[in-house]
Amino acid sequence: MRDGIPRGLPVPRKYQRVIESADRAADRGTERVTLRLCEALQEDLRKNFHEAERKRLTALAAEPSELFSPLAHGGAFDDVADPTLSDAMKKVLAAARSHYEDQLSPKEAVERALSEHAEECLAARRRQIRENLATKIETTEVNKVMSEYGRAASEADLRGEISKLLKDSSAPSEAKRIKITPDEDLRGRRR
Amino acid sequence: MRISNRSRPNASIIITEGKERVRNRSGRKICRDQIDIQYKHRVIPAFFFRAPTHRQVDLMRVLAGIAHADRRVKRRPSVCWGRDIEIEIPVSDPDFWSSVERKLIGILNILSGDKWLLSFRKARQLIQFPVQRELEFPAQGQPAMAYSNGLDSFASARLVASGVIPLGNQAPQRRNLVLITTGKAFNAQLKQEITDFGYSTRQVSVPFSIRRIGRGFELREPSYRTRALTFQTVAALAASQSQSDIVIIPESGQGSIGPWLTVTGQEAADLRTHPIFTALLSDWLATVLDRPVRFEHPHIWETKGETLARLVSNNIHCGWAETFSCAVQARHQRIKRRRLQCGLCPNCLLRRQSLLAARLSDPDSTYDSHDIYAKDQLLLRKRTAQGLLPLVEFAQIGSTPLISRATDHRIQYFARLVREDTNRRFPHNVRLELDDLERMTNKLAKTHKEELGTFLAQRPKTSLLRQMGEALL
Repeated sequence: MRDGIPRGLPVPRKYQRVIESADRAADRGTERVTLRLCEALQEDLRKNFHEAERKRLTALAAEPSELFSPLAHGGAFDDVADPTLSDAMKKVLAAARSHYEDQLSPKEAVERALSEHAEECLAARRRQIRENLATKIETTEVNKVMSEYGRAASEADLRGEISKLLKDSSAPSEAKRIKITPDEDLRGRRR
Repeated sequence: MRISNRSRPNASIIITEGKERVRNRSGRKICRDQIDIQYKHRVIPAFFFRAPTHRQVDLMRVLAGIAHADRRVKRRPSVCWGRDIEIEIPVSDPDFWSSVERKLIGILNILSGDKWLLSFRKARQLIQFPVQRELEFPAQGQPAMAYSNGLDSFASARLVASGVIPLGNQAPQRRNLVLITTGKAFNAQLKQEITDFGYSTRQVSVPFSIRRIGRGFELREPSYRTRALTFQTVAALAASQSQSDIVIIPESGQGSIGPWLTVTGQEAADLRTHPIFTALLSDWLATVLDRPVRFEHPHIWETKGETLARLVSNNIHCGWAETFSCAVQARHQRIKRRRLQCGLCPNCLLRRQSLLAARLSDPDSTYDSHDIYAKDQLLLRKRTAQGLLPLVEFAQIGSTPLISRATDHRIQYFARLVREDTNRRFPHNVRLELDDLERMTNKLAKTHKEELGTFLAQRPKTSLLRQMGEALL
């Protein structure tokens, strides 16, 4: 039950730009890092919830649905083995039901569940970035970038990102391939 | 059609029987039953005290087919973690397997993070096994355990078999065990030992093997998350043949809860030894094996160091040094003498930390010394960071507001699953309220952090391991 030599997972391009920004003295403490982080998060969310799932969540948030009724579903344990739902969707539905049972409106319940999922995404990316940087640069430098990442994450308007995700539920799941324009060099930095 | 390197990996695999010729749809990959998947005819009797039923043989085929597919289709982590895998398997009773396929797909999806599609067709011929000789091992109700020869399985087998720790709500008692192993040593014949501690263990290997290199393929995908399904199902099969309902998961809390709480990047949560996976598997196996199966996690709220300390305090720890925890293959070893553990991968670092916590002597000479990396500082830094970070991350599940909230969300989800499990598939020591689950998880992480801190402080001040660990912790 072993895994072999641990291999780092490649950091997506949008998160690379977050790192670049968090590492740049001129950007530290500014809104620019937060904006880049929100962009990267939005891409993650779109990958985690494909179009049909986003439409379903939007419909769920719009009006009380039978999905929230405890009689209409077998519960989270039955959902967890449901092959038609993605892993992210299972967790969000379970969390949304919990919030609904705690007397939140359907819209608030769905949005809060999605915000929680967004936080989990940010935490997973934080671990990945930390591991990736620790293999390359001094630990003190890693800690500087990570504290900037933490600041940006705490300032990010997650509810706003969730609203954007649900509002634009028919947008494509996969981000379009990034085109390198003459204004950008191969590292994606603007000249 | 050319598949782009930027698209999600997908594959359709068909398992063919013998010299069967199938009409091959474009791009469908072939896996030949009894050639690319082989059954170990000399091991089968150790599992089945009587002739195996067709369903049990089908189960082996299904497991082997899934293992083959999981290792054959390479992930593309630069695009996404998941893959789309379709597999067609010949079975004796397609109707039965179709009726249980939904739950199996759900388990596979959650275990591997992929999207699986299974289909079953009627097998043309049934697999013939040699006629069973006499009944060698009468059913004695022996619990089974997947035995990796690592520290966790070694310690757990000793503690459970000696009656030091109870299983479920039963009073502690001595037990004989069936241990499911891998490795050539146990492939040829089953091995039974009466130990010095008054119990017997019977070691048997997984009753099938999959070829690594075959016609037009090489099994190269290293993640192989479905190995947990293979090992735990085979353990359940062994337990059920012995008229027992119990399968023991020997993993410590660091191995069961840790990887699930500290998901990294785009990877799917690692549930290989988590109770969520074993509860779902237990549900599915109850139908397939037609008898209840209970997975027990006796060490889930202990660190590996605490389990080892229990072993030492009961004076049943002799032989621990023969265990092997390292994840790194022998071809990567730098010192060319006897086989050594690398000392730097997460498994080795957890081993070293735990042995120190249990006050067992563990000299550095046991490991493929990292002094030899002196000429290659970049590689040393990389290996140290990759080995250390998983341990550091679990020690820091409450370190920042973001990480702390993400941890809380996961535990809340787990608590909800436990609460809504009406069939009581989760083991008794996990059936807890949210507050207790949070308390136990935090206690586990705190003990782990203390053990890790002690281990790092014990390294020389010049050690990169210490410098990096202390700066990150």
